[in-house]
Amino acid sequence: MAITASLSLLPRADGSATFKSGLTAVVASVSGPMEVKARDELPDKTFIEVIVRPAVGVGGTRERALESRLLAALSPLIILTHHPRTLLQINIQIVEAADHTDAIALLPVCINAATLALIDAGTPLKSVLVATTVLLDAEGQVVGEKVKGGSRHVLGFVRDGKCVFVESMGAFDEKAFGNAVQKGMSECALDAGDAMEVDGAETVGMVIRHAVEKKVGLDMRWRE
Amino acid sequence: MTTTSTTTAATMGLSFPATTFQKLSPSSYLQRHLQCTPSTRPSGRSPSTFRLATLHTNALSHAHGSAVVRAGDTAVVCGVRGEVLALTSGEGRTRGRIVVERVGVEDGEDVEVETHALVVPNLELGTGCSRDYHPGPPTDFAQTTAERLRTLLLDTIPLVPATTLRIADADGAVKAYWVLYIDVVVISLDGNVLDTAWAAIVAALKSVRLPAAIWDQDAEAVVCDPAPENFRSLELREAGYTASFVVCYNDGEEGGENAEKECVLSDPDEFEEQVCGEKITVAVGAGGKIVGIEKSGGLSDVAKTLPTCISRARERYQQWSSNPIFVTATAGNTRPRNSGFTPRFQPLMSRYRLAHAASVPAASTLCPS
Repeated sequence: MAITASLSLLPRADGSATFKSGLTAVVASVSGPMEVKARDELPDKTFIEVIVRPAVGVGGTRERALESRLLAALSPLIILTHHPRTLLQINIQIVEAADHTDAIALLPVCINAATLALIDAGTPLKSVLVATTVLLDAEGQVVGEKVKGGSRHVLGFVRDGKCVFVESMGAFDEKAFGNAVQKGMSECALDAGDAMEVDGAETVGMVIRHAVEKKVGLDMRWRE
Repeated sequence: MTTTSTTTAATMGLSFPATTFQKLSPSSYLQRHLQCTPSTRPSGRSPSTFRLATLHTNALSHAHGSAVVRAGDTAVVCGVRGEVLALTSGEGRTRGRIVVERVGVEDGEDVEVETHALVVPNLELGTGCSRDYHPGPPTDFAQTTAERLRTLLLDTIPLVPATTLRIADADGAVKAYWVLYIDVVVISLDGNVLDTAWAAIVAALKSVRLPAAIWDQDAEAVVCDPAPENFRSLELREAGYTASFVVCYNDGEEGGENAEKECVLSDPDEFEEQVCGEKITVAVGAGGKIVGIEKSGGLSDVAKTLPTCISRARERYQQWSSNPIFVTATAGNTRPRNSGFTPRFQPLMSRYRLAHAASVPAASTLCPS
């Protein structure tokens, strides 16, 4: 399943990125710090707003739930006290989805795209969140495809390898969950030493790292 | 302002009542409580105590099933109403036929429940439930919680198999379905709506008594037996329950390397939910197996906080599942329902059929004019 990412595609947004994993593609843009509505203003922090737009139609309860999950995933990463009384708006546009009714499958793709967009925008961040999906079978072993009686785990990891975001569903026990966290950690690792290539394809962590390196390389080309 | 008493100078110092402290610096207020030995929360509970929940079922006389659940000051009413979804629709020339091809006939797949939307949960924050929620269109919070309940009911803990909702004809072919409209109204909000709403949904579904329905080939409609003693319960799968937590950092900073100790608080109330951003929900299914975990809003390591949450969630599952309302099916309940029914067979008055009954003269048959 090919994973690709790129940054700075939208010229008018403060930061933007696209993340594509297999058939699911998402564009994220970040604008801010900017003018906040009086009712949302926080005296000591930035107000964060996440807006998710589906590929087709108008957003409904499914998109509201996805927005709430993304806000909860991304807020702890952002240093909110740097720009008090301002708004940071994160927009996510679903471009394609393998299954439009499956909101959980969109979650890691949205998280990764938003992380890249936040980096592109230069938002003050405590850390970086990289997410992936791990599938387990009924015995708790990692598998490549969805298996009946198994479980699906969307896991988000920060820079030092800690798992801080979880959205798991299915039948499993602690040991199986531990396997999932191990697998997720290796897929989301941002350092070349910890990551491993899965079937010759780049892991999520490596794709994100290279996308950021490419952007920094372009920005710093005046040095040469 | 001149003072004559010497003690007044001391009382005008930096001390103020606890409620003022709570408003001025909520996170310090919570942390000071947790730093006591033993750790206590402002409500008086210990970090691992869940609020005692009381349940009452069959309180609503016009719903097929209902439950009221109260945990502390969070109170929720859930009503379940069954409506018939006929697979053939229209009369005369406008008659249409929907042919159902069941993909994945195994019970576990439940494609029918998803495709025909046979279970429709909805959550509403009733007026006056909380200072923060005013009447109007559903807020983001209400929509998010409704969607979480829907995911719980259809995917995580799929209580309702399609088989119990089928209405068949004499040959056993499926001609119609019962659609369950599950409405949850929050009448009082003091944190942790999800657990309470979910328990109310489970209790309401277990208390549901639907009329016996068959497909009448001659009338080409679903007919129901109005006698309450012939009502049947739903055949549900084994229930699971959720347990929600918040994580509080004992250091003033929200996580990061400085956070020495994380304190996991079970069943948070409104105040704790506002102070602590990190929330964890664990869903436990039949046999104590974990069926779902949600964790977000903070940077605590899963390895540190999850084991506590899982063990407490399992205890909470024991508490819920040993509650008498969840243990016994309400099979013996012969409380009369729909007292307006006349005592003979008649078609179930779904909204659709009622509209047609008004326009079609009683003597006409269903042949095209």
